[in-house]
Amino acid sequence: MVEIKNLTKKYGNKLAVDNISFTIKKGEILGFLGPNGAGKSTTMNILTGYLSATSGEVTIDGHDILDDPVEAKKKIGYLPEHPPLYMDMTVREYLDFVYDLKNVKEDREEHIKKICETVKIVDMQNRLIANLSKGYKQRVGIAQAMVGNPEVLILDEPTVGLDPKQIIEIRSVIKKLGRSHTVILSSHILQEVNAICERVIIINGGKLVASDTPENLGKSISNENKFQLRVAGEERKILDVLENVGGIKYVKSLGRKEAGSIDFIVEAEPNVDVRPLIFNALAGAQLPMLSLQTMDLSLEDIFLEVTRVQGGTYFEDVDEDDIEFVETESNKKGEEQ
Amino acid sequence: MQAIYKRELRAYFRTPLGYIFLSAFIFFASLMFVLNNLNIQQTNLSGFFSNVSLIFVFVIPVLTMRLFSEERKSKTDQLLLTAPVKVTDIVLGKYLAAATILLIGVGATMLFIPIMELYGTPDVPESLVGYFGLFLMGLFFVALGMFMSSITESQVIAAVSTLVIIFFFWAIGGLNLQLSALLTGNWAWLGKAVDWLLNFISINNRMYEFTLGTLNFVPAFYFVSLAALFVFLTVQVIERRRWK
Repeated sequence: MVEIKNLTKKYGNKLAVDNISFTIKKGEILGFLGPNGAGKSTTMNILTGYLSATSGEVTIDGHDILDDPVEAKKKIGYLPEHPPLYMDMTVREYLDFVYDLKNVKEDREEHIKKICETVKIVDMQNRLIANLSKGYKQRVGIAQAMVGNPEVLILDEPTVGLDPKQIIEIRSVIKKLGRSHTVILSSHILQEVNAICERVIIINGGKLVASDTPENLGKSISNENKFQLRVAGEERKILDVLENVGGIKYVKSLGRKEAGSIDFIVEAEPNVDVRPLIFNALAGAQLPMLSLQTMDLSLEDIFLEVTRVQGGTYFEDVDEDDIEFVETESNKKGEEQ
Repeated sequence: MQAIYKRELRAYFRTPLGYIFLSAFIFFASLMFVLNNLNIQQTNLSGFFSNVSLIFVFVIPVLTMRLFSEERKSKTDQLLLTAPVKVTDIVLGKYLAAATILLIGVGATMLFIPIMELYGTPDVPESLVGYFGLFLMGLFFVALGMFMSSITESQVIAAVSTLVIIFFFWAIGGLNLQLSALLTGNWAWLGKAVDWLLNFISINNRMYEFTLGTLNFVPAFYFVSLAALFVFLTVQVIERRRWK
């Protein structure tokens, strides 16, 4: 559906996008992940024809965005980072304008009504856009992208600046849209991409550093097979039992976290599922297992891993929990360009 | 193009800009009409047209300053430029909207003809030719103002630079340098050439030809081709910006 080949964009001497290639299949929801200033918005602006690449090609359903812009743009609905809203118009006037601008052939009333219902702005239609809250402005922005029913929706940070309730609502809207559209979604919020997307592309410093499903990304980076275990009983006894289970590489006690129980980290040989063995062994010794958790790498860990390896220096000294708020001077500048 | 034209026209009346332009233009034009014609019982509008061209210098920047600079500042240009429309259509839609407001303003001052007819016998065809010239001149100023608005994000810069450039075009003929009298001998041709050029680009001189009541091809071509040039340049600026 969307094909990107060797895309490079330079702002003066600064390389914003460095030789990125990927394809998006029809009906896919693709997450576009990267720290601030990584080149996400630039790439999306090139995809939609707002900017032109220094070199490389973009084709939308076979139409080159430079050679055949009108046809290519017909297939795209775009929500830029700042929703492109006219503050002096009401929601309905605005959507009517976009309808005319995109030269949509469908029945006007029905088409706009359906969109307003999907993004839940039916009651807002006669309000002036300037007076809407940020959450509603964002929805009008998404509505605008949906006008004309384009096959590809490109959404640049659709949930940024919204409150948690709005974020959940917008995400469910996007998931719903994903059933009938190809969606490209950029975000620097990892849970979001994890929750919505089938495939993730991570870019950093303008380079594509990873592309896979969220699960596969976790596996490819770590071959470790680790569990966290909570067992009621005496530490000594439990260790004795665990050490006799086949396939376990090592067991480490984490001490007491809950009264009457001990937590352990267990690492098993790769490709061996030791969970039933552990369960049976502990049950046989009458040591009740209170919890067992696999320690998958979260997308967050992957993200840090990948962006750090590829020369991403922004996160070196940053607490992992603060990752969304990192804005150094240098990456801020990149974002604004 | 139609969608953009309609939106732009509506925006003029949603914001104070359309009202400011029309009220300022009509007020000052009426003032000039009173001074040039009513007070001295004169039916020839040529003095009036000359004064109105100076009013244009000050009010047209108001009409054009936001056309593209505001879109860029509020990032709404991302909607227009990623929609399946040609840049030429975007530019023309906006240009025609501004030209429509200009036409409304010029049209309103045409009421002066029937007012004169109440008290005297104005030469109606001659006056109409003058109005036609005035409108063509306005078209050129609007195109120039739109172009200035396309190269900056700031409405203030767009307005002031438009004003300065239009004023330059307007005043250049009045300088009447007469270089050909100063430069003699080997440099006489240069003096003549500069005089001719300044005379040619002078808006006042071109406008004067219209106020005489004769419909000449050269001054009409002068205004229309300059307007077309700046519309074309605006399209180029917007097309090229993507490559920056």
